[in-house]
Amino acid sequence: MNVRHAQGVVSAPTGRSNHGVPVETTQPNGLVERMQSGELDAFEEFFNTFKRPVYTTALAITRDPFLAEEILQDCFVKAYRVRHRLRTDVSPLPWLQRVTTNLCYSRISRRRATMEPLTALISNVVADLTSRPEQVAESREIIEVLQRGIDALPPKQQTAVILYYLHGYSLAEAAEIADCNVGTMKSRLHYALKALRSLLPAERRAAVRGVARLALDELP
Amino acid sequence: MSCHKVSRALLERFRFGELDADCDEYLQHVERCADCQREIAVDRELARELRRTLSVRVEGFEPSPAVWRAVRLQAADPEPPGPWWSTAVLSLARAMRVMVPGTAILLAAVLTVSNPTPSPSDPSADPSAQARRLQWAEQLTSTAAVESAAPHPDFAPTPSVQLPRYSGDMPFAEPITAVKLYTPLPSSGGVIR
Repeated sequence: MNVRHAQGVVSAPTGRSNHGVPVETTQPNGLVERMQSGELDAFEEFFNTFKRPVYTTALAITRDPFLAEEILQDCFVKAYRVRHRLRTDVSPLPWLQRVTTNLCYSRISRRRATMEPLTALISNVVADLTSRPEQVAESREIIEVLQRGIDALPPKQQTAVILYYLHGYSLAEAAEIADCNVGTMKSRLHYALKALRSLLPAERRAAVRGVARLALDELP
Repeated sequence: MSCHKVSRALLERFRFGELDADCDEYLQHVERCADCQREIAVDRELARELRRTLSVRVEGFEPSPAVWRAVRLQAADPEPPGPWWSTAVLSLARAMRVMVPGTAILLAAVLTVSNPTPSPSDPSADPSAQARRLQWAEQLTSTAAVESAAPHPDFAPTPSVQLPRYSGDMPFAEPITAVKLYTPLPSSGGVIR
């Protein structure tokens, strides 16, 4: 059990949270208790506190903003209905994230044809990242390869990658959300990275290596 | 120290930020080995690209305010009933919980009443039935021997012996299924061994 979770307050992971979405995981004291006593305001506060990480996870897995909203809605309706069973001594976020990933994969198995419409949007976002046309093309290609690779990962590895690399959760936090131990989480990440690396074409890996030599200076 | 060992040991430590004093030996090797440097750098670069790719997936999206309204409306409603078959299955399961033990008890009672088994330890109070049982037992012990193994060479089956028929007042809980009768041959001196 994560120490911060055991204390009932989960602060945002420090150090690695600057790459993704800001993660709001602090649980105001007594929020779940107030929700359990039937205060609708408390439920709204609960929703506003945890909606962002839940929605981000749903969107990262499904890549469909509308489906992600449906999942967000189902997740919080479920949380409200089982509010009397929610623990008050730990943050509900790991439970919410677990419910979200389960809902995502059950929905995805029912409707698979929702992955494509975002390609154009991704291209636009990538185009803003760099200025030179060849760099834009290179980034776009790497991102598209990785997007396909992430989609092709088995659900458990995909969840591990999203929790660790997108949310910036620590290994222990990600393991708690995925309901496994830290060693299993490391293993899932290892195999996910191995699969993603093998998906990159040889010429792209060489290009990454070119960049990587520069990154090596950052080594401790 | 092989590069394979170094890169495997270090990759995870670099990846998860677990470098400590134990890694000095590996780090010294990495400083000299271009292959290991490349492996670690590619891994770091891949992680960086992965973070960027995942950020691209979610950047610019926010849940609409309509979601909270929908959540509030749905949460206020009582939980909708499941599909019709789930209700039927639940009702059946509930009924079975009562029906199965009840049926078993009823069946056992019916069998006990319709087919009472005489108990050998509980002799009947009827003196005539007791006399019949004793007579039957004497007849059996004087004329027959029960054997389950292969027949003894000194004995030959006697085909014409009349077995007493099984009746309800025999002192056995189970009916006799097979009885072989043997008569002593003259070569054995008339002694059953």
